[in-house]
Amino acid sequence: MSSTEISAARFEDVVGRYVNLRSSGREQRIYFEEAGTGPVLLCLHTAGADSRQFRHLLNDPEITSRFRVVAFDLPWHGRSLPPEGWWEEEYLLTADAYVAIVRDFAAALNLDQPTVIGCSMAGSLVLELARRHADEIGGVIGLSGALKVNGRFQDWSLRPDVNAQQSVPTWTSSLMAPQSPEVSRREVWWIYSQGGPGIYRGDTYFYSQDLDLRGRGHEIDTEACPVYLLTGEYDHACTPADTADAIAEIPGAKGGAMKDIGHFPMAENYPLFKTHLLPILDELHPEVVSDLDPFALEGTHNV
Amino acid sequence: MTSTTGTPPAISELWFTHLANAVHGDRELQVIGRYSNFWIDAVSPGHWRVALNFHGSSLIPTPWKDLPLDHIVISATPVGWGQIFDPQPKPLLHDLLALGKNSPDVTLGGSDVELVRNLRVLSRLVDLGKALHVQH
Repeated sequence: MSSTEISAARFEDVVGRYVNLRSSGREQRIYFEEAGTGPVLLCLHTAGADSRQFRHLLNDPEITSRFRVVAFDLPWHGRSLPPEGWWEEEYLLTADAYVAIVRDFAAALNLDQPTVIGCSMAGSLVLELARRHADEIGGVIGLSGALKVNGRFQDWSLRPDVNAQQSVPTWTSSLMAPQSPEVSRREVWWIYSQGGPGIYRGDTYFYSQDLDLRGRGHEIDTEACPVYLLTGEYDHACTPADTADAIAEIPGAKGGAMKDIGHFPMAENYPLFKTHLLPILDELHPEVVSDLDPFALEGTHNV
Repeated sequence: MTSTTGTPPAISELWFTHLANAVHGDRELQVIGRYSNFWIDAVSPGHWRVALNFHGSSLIPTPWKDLPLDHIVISATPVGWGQIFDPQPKPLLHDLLALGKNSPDVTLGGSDVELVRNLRVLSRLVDLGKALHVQH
């Protein structure tokens, strides 16, 4: 066939695949995308969303020429189907199941000492990963994460007289910075609109109910697993103050507030987020980052 | 509606008629609001009170005695209404839900279900209000 458009099609280097594995005693068909070569950046999406949130990172040649970026959809999310029998159960994500699926996925792909980047619920999950399995992880970067985040677990999205397909994404859009590019904010909204019924709520069960690391920050060994926590100043779910409390409680943790950005930094304003990410990657992997333009590494005073 | 000082006009009952006119010209609300029908009790305690019915992609200021039982209440001081429609808001005061949490000058009340059910249209109304502030 002939193209109806003059400009040539452009293929991305991002490749998507499925891996079948067992986790928490159940068969799981997990979808993931990856690009690049080098030390692994394992990316974990937010509650009720999927790995598309990391498409800008996956498509950034400055990153993928130095790192292997891998992002997967949790079971029940994106292109990863829920396990058999899902129709007879209430979806509630627990810390044990969440830690298990990340480890089982990493093991299935033979990911060696990955740097784990997680946002929102995953920004908190990475702290639990570091606490339980510091020896398996090269470092964690938590975005919009804290030791405890209150108030996100609510039942209204299950009501038959509420259109969760519209209300959940608008509810979460509230957490973004108004100056982030509109096309990116709308994309975050769109991804949320495609979540399954009750999935956002079930994820926030982990984020706001099941996980509570207050008083346990000292159990995280940042010598074995460096910890970085960054939160956008417009984030009113996990506020910069919540993250500052976590940094204060975890000996050796670094990070702080990111100006002019909200709860979904890698998705709502990737260029700005990158200025915060690169200095961290330079600390963790100077051997592959140090050749970057020094200007690109000047982005943050938080690290 | 035109300010002689260059500062945004204060929010008032009259201001909502301008917002209603903006709704008619907004392509997004014409799409997303087609099947919406909800009510807002907009209040500035001690100053003014207006009922707003969003119905079939139109915003209709209405006498507040017509409010049905299930409705959304947005109550704010003059400062709070300025925050709601501030086109350059401060962090954590940048959105209606954020203001309901963090501003002592803004209170969200009434039916929580009506609020979440109609949040998409309501958020767009607030964005239009912010744009009105920029125009004036």
